[in-house]
Amino acid sequence: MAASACARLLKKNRPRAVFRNPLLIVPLILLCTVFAGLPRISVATPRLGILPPPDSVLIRLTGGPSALVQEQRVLSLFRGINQVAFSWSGVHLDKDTILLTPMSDETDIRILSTAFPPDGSSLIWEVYSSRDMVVPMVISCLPAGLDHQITYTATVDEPAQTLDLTAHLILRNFSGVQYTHAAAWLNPDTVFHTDLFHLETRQIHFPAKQNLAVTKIHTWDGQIMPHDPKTLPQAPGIPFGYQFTNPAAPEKGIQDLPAGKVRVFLTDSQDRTLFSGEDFLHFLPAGDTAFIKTGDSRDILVSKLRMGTSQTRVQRNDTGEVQVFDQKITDRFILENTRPTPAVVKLTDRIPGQWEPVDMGHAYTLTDYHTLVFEVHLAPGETRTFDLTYLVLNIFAGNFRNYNTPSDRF
Amino acid sequence: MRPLITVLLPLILFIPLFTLPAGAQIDLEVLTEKRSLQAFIYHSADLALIRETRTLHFTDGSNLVRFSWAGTRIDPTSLALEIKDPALPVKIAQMRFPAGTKNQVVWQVQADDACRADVEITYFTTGIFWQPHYTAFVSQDRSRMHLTGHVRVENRSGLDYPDVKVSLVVGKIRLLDRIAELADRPFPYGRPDTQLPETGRQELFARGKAVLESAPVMEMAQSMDTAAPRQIEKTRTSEYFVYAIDGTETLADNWARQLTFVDAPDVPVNTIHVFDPERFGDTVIQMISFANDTASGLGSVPLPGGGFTVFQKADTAGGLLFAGTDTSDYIPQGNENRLNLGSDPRITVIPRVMAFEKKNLTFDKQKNLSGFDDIRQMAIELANFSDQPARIEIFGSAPDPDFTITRISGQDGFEKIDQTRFKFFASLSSGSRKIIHYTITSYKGDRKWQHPPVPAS
Repeated sequence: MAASACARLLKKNRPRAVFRNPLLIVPLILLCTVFAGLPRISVATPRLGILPPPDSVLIRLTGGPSALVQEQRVLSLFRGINQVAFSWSGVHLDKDTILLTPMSDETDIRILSTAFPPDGSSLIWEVYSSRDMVVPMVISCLPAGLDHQITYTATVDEPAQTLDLTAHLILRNFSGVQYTHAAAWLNPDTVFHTDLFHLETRQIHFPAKQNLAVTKIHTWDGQIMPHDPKTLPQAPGIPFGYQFTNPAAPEKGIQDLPAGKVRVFLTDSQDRTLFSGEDFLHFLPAGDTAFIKTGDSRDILVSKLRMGTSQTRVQRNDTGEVQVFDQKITDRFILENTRPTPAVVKLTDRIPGQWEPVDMGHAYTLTDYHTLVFEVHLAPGETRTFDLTYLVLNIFAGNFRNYNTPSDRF
Repeated sequence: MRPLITVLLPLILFIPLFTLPAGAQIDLEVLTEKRSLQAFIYHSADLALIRETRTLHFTDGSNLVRFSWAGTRIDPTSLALEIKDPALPVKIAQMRFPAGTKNQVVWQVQADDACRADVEITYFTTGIFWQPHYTAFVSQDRSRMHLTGHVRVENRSGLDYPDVKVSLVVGKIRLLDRIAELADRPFPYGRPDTQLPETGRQELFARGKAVLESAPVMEMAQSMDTAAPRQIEKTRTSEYFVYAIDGTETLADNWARQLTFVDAPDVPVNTIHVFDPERFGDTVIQMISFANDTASGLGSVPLPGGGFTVFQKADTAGGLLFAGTDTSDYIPQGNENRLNLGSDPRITVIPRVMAFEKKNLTFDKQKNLSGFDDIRQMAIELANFSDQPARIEIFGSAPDPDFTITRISGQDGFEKIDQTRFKFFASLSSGSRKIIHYTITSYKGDRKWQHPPVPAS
């Protein structure tokens, strides 16, 4: 009954222009306090007050796309049961994620229950206080429409040996809430103090990595690149980009690079800066390596030609149909570097099925049973040719022909 | 505008019939007060069982007891009136739904002597729900968590329930009809000719919606004489668990009320990373697991299924990180439960086929290929780029049951789950890498019947 009176009073005395602000902006807190230990008649005159603005606002940019907003406010509580009303308008909040956390001993302050009024955009906490006290409280919520992105600017020096990475924190506020003097928290080492108003996007720069060792690499993948580009009316270039490792340095705190678009610029000997292209950097933990592709080179040509195929060890059934055979294959790679500078070309090619090498004209590494990676260093103007001869074994021609290559299933 | 609540309340009208000349009748209507009110709110269905106890005065002879429920969502087929004391000279002769009136029932009660009797009225209503929700605060090192479980009871039944003793029921019940449909029927048991045409249903729906939307804004009365969170007693009844809320609540229409029913401040948790391409694709999922048992401080009853919001403590000053959300089904007592917190890019698992062979080829009498062994040497590359040790579970499967796994190395555990699925365990310290090697041999065609022994090919 007492609380009912209190809640009624909350409603009647509610400064409508503020509490039911038809515009967006400012979630409000109203505090209504009643004394628990007094006769019920006394609770007919509860105290009602509007809280001052939050002492601090922290926007934590972790946990995926959602931003967790934590506001610290100081509440004056009276001994007994207090009602703390939290209301919002023009803001979408998940009610299950709104938390009120007293910054005090649990024996002094306890949250007893939460009531959800019919309007759908407010709630009332019942807070027990063991004595009259002023206590800081943290209100946490996940407002929709508040998020962040990361983008990078990578600047590569003229000899393509080092790379500077500058990160941009993009804060997007379409939540309906105005944040003033908020701390945008990316990790314990990366915190920015800023205003962030509704419908506003802010970009904050911060150096991510400086002087990273980088290797410029040209790539050719037999699965997607033409094998005989000279026969094409317009030869496509081969992709190039920069490979670098995010160094692990635990003493420097969080060193992971969040995912984001990277725009790559080149500085030349005349200190000019040229935009080279852009790629998406996937989350790169400290200690791991990334490759960002920036463009295509027309000065390096890669051709793959099949020089010979022969069947061996053919087994037939009684009616003469081929059942199983082996195939000896020779492929030729021709790499031409028409540039006046050296180049590193990373060739990736695949040999499907069960195979064994016969005569491989270049060293390679296997990333899996059928993917061969060749790292070819070309001098200025050099043309390199090498052949790969290998045997594909047990090719099924009749039954089980679907089993010539293993499925991708793990 | 505040509606007339009394109009929405079920009324019990007590109408003694005086002995008068035929055709003359005087009705005396007395609104009786409820003596007690109980609500059993089910989780698995839109259903609440309401029990009202009232005291009625009966005169010698035939008495009529009228009950009406306009503007509510009561199932008329569930209405029942019971005389609490069977020794009293009162019997319920019949119950009828008067023609030309809606949402009204009249019981004819025969009394051999004038007396005062406690009666209990029971009925089903829809529009009263309860939903569990859990909030977990995981410690910075992810070894413990503070788990709080709340139940939110919401009343959209069109009716206020003041001072009601609330019990929340966990367990599945079988229903032949949706109670909401029974409550919407224009005639309690339908009519024998036809169903309502579609337009009639739409009108009904629109009317019901309008009733809901025009429902009054009311405050929720709250007991102010307690300084502790309301206790919730948990008991098992047959296949059901009942969470009985201590004291009474007022469930005002269109309001919801949230109470804490679990508060375990120090639940041990394990952080597990799971790589299961069939369920989660190529990403490594981070999970936390906990046991619903007394050792965890969670008590000795099942936990109803509900949503989980997980935060990780960032500092000692109340700083939190949002870790993710998940939903959980009913958690039986003693069972472990896992919460999926989404992908963790700091842990990578890359399975590769490092060698592929077809061996032990067999041929039938006509020299057709009839079978072979598909042999793959596998390497699962694991890396932990996080600043915490990681325990990883890697799930794999074979396309058919005829396979063997041999020459396993690099793992901390291996388990065959069923005839096609298996699982590796691996623990990685911060910043470390590891490779699990194994050979999987699948037997195709006739080789399914021949292995072992392995014939020469």
